Amino acid sequence: MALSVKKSEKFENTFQLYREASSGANGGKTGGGCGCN
Amino acid sequence: MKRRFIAASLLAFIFGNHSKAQEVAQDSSAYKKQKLKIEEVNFISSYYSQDGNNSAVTGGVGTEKLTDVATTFDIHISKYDSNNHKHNLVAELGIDSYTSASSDKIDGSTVSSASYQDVRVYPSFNYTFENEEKNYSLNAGISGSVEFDYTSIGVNAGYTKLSKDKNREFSVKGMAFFDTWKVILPIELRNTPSDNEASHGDTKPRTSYNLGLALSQVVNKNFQLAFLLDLGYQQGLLGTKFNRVFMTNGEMRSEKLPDTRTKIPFGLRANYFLGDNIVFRSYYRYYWDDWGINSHTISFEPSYKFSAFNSLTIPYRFYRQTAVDYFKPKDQHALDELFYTSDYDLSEFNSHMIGLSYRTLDSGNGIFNIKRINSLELRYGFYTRDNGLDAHILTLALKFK
Repeated sequence: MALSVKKSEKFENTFQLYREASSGANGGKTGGGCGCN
Repeated sequence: MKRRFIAASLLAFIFGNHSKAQEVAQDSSAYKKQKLKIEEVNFISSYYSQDGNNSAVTGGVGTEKLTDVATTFDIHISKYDSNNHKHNLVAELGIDSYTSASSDKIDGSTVSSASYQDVRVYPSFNYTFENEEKNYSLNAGISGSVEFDYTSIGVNAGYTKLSKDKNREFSVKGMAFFDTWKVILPIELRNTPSDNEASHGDTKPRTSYNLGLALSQVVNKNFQLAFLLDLGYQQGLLGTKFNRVFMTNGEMRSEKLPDTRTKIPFGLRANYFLGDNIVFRSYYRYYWDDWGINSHTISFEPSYKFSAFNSLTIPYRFYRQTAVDYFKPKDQHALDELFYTSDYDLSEFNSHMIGLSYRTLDSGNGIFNIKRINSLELRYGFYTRDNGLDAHILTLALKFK
């Protein structure tokens, strides 16, 4: 089903993971794999 | 009659299959013997730049100027076995290169240090087994990430079940990351650390466990919904030891945060198709963790198809978070606090992101007359936080088939 994150949003999600304290519930990881919050 | 049937089957297979790397076993059964098929190849690259004045490396005050160039390649390969089960493999390689004026201040005595620039390399492999007859799939994968002071090994496994009419999908996925920090302390503390959590040059572990649940439902031909719930737990060195924290008496310490963290985000996606030309994509997430963060994320992405092969999208995202319990600005942490940070990524703030995206699909002649390029998307986003950080990101995504 076409409800997943678009590939073109991939790096936007990455910098939001670094610049914000929350993560997850978007099909990606909730944490880990990087030295970010 | 039998010869006509075989000829018709052969013609249908040839015109229904675009891959060069296939052979067809001509028999009258439903099984089709196939070699490996390259389903698609994706190339995604972005340029990111930011600036602000709350660098965590210098205690919450100072430049946050940073640029990052990130690129990933991935290839999707599939094959059917003798039982008509589909096997998929996705191999991805990512490379990030960033320069950071604030990381350069880890050692403020130099004009420019090695920490000014870093490169991260992150490969991953994910395998999926699909039983199309019984409507379920199993997946598993491994990933890695390497940069100067941080390495990660990740594993994941999951299960997806479709309803008979394929209008409902449930999935569960578990992930674990086994990471290692190489501890870098600010230059002033390398011989006399401010706490006994870690010394300069130590290697410390960080382990993360995630369980993701997702339920998607096609409500009708115009409306789709998805519910997402994650449960996350981390333990190990969770603070960034080269971040400085200035206490009320002027004493400078290395950031110190708890060694466990529990996270629970809940998300909702909704897509609505208004006729043939307009799609509304929306997303909401509520996040809670035991460090004191509560956050809300809401995004809208209306997309307009102005021709059969071209569309424009205007994404907008609003985000709000409360501060972690351990955050205070520079010079405000009391000496008896057990945990302390002046990292404004963990402070209370609102942010907005607005952008513009153009997407074009292959109309038959390829894109830029290159037949293998199936789609191209160019996406720009401007991000602004109410504590002064602004960022720009430009992304190019190409799909080859």
